[in-house]
Amino acid sequence: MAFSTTIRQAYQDELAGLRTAGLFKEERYILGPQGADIEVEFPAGADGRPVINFCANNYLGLSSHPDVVAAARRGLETHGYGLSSVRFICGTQDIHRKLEKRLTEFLGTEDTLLFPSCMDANAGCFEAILGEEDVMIADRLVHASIVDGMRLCKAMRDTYKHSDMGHLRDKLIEHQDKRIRMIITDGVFSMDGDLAKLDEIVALAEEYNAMVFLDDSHASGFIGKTGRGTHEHCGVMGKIDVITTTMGKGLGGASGGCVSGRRELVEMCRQRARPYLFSNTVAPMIVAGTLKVLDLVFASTERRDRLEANTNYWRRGLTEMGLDLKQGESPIVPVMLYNAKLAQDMARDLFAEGIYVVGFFFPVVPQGAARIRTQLSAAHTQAHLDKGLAAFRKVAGKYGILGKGKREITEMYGK
Amino acid sequence: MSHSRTIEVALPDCLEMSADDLNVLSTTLQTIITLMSGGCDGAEAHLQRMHDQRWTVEWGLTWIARARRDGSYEEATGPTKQETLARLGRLTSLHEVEGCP
Repeated sequence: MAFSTTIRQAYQDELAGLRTAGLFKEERYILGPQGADIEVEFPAGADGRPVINFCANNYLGLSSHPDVVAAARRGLETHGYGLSSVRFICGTQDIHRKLEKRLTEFLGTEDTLLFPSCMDANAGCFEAILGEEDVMIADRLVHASIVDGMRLCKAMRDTYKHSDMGHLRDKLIEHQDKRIRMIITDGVFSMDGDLAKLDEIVALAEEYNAMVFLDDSHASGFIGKTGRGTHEHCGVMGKIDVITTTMGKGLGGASGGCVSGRRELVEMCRQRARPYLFSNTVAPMIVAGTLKVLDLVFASTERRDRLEANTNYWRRGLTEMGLDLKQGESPIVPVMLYNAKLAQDMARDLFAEGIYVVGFFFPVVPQGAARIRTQLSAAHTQAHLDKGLAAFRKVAGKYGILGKGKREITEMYGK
Repeated sequence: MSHSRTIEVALPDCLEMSADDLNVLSTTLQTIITLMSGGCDGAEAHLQRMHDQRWTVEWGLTWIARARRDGSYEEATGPTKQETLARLGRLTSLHEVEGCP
């Protein structure tokens, strides 16, 4: 079918609708490597502006770490640029299996399978391990990739209210007639930064004979005493049946993901998960870089500890100046503003002050729950944090919201 | 399916029929025609083709419900209207928000 004028116009109208609704996503060009200090070209064509980055998933500050870059470069030299193949034909090198074994050791599981991304891992694993006679019971705020994966699976889909263990119990009772019940949750929820009640979830799973699936993408490398993830934090290592995570956030920030867990479930993914079977192997230099990341994480908790200290300092600073935060323990710290325009205006003004943050509003977050999501990194120094806090004080003061809570902010700006 | 031959049935004004009633009537009539056709409408050919490709095929009459919101779409089927809507409710509960990356 020709891309006719009518069809072109239809797409143009739809894109215009996204702009009108304020939902059009514009990329901002970073002129250099990822880090706490970056130079950003925005809008396109403008001069680069130096800003402090408070919106990356670069939790451990390893995205541009010289040892990781050097390891990736060595991997490029020893194992080449690409494999030109899926894993099971001629796309598996020694380092792929080595990384899978290291991730298994790191996560405390039985086996691991690499995927091109965690998006792919989540999209492919449910269909590979569950069937029509099973049920998936997911927290209502799980990541979009899990929603997509569940939609591709023939098992019954159901949900429980966010972190509501009573509701989860009701659902487990309701679905006792199914062959397999799988409870599905994020470890750290990307919207609010709160942690799943994994210890309670595991207890319910044991009581009602269910499996537990955990996406720990916003936790791997830094949540828990030694950074193994939410399952370590909650004291349930070895009790999670399936863990998916990414190498695109704390663990180096490049790309790639994995499914890790019970040996048979991982093998089912190796045999049946379509994103694994039908997309290229993870590039050797990323595998080599991630192996170095794991060496660093195994060797010391220094970065994880610094991230925790930075998060505590940041939370305390924002709270003391009178901003309304979502409570939590993770390095995702949402500043609640409730009004979409206020969130956008403040993010713009903070950018002008040299602080790079992003405003989130409906439909990304619930209606009337607009916020600026700030994310901490081990790469942030005291000076970065203090400059960020000063900018928040100045901009929030301009909008008169210091010391104000939800009711007062919504009275001033509306929902 | 060809719709070259259709019949119309007059509904008296005094007969109060809800959207559900009309749906049931239309579906019932269509079901009768389908069963009467004995596969001459091409259904058997579709079935044979799937059998040739080793598909095990089951079919039956069912309720269907669809939900749309902006770019999101969900669809459920079930034996009763209540069960079908309950299933659809479960499916849409995964779309409370778009979520953050």
